[in-house]
Amino acid sequence: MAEKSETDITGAQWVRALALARGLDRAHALFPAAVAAAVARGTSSLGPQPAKFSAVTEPAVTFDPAEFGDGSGEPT
Amino acid sequence: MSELAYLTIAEAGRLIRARQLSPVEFTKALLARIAATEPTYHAYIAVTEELALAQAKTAEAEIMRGDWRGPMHGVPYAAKDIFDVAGMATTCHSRLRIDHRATADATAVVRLREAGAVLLGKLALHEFATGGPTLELPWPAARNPWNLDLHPGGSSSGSGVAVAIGTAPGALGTDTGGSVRNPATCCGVIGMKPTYGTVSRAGVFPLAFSLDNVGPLTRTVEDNAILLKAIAGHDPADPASAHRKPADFTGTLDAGVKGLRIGLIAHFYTEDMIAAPEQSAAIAAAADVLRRLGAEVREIRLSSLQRYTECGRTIHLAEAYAVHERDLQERPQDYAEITRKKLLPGAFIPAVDYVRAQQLRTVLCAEFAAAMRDLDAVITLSSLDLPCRIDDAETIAKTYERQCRMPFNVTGTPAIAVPTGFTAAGLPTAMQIVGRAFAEPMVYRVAHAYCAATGWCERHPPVKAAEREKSLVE
Repeated sequence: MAEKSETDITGAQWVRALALARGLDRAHALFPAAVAAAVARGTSSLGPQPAKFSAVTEPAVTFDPAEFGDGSGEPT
Repeated sequence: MSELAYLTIAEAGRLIRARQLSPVEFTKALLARIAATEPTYHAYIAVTEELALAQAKTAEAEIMRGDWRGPMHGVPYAAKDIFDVAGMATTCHSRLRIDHRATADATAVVRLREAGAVLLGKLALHEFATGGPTLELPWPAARNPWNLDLHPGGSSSGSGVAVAIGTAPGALGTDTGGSVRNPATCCGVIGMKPTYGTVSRAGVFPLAFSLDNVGPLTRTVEDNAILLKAIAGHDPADPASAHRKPADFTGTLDAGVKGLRIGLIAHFYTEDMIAAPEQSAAIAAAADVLRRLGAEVREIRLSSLQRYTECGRTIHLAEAYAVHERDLQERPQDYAEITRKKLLPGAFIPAVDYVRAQQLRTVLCAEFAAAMRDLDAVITLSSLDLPCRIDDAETIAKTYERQCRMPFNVTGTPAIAVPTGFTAAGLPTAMQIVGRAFAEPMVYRVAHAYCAATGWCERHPPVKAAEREKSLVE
């Protein structure tokens, strides 16, 4: 049987805590349902990664599509 | 009047150069048509009549003395109200921006001014290029020209509508997850998302930095290439601007598709998600047209549509929230409900998911590049569904998940939406033609061959005008 922690909180409290941590007190007070939906959407998993994905894959932070194949055009 | 309204950029440019068409008369005709149609279609947020007439007079004087600047000289256009125009509000169709005043023109607007083009006005959009049609905003939502009860697509909604109903021969839009190609699809016009970095985003209000593109909407492929040519090119004011000379977008338009190898990404809309039968049938017929024109069309497989979309969506949400965080904290009530719902999830995306999405993007870009190694272009659907009712927010929200456009914001590659026909109810269907990075000439070449063979681009919606102005549009 799972141990019950003294810090167990309800879903609604969790949503409120997250909203407050993000400075969204006002949004939560005015639009609690929208904030709850946003928490659910924002924290949903990205889904399974493809076979070629690796934890050390370089992210495309400075994104340059030319690195991934060039159709035409001349560099200046 | 309707002859001038549906004059293409290419035709107008040739007539203006030959002094057979006055830029002032052309501009006046379009301004009159805007006045007549706006009460019905709501494509424009602001009409820049004074500026347009001044620019048209200047263009006319220059051309009369032999100083012709190029194919956009004296030709009118309009811009989504997310582009800065000095002295005007860049409203982003939002209450939050009513008091804004731009101090300088966006680079794309500067380039068109330097090309001698005439700015007719600023166009409606979805709030901050992400919300949706709603009655909550200070300006009404643009209406679908083929059926006023339906959604015109977005977020560059006014751009699609104005081009379709002949109140602008070309328009500027922006595309972060399909916002040029969606209204092009719903309105039956041509919409191009060029390679990321091709057109400067300087002076354009951002949505998601690493996915945002400026792109043209027009009624013909040739016009699209002309308009893109006028605005493309490196700009030091945009950190993502590509360091390369723009290709010749119009030079190979007439080269045809004989011998080209074209991939068909059917699993996006037949397995990953199931498209409306009218959309599937139309792209199957389009593939047959390309085969008849001499192209080799064969199915290819990529990662699932959901994987591409989720990658793009995660990046989109996180970057868009960074732009809007302060306003969402301090004045969330000033956003429309539909916009709040779209922006707030970005507050809760874990940092690791954003990094994972950018890593996934690397993998997906490499996958797409590998698939393109022995192909000249690929085709797939644009929207999976037909336009739904403009007052059906729930269905509109679903249609934004049911589209094949985001994959090419993720890969950063050029993608154009072109009409593939009309349903029995008279609604346009569309497909995308996609190329390698910076291969816009190839994308335009395939699109031009297809459109010339089918003639779908030559259909115009039945334009309704306010009664008092009716004579102006007939």
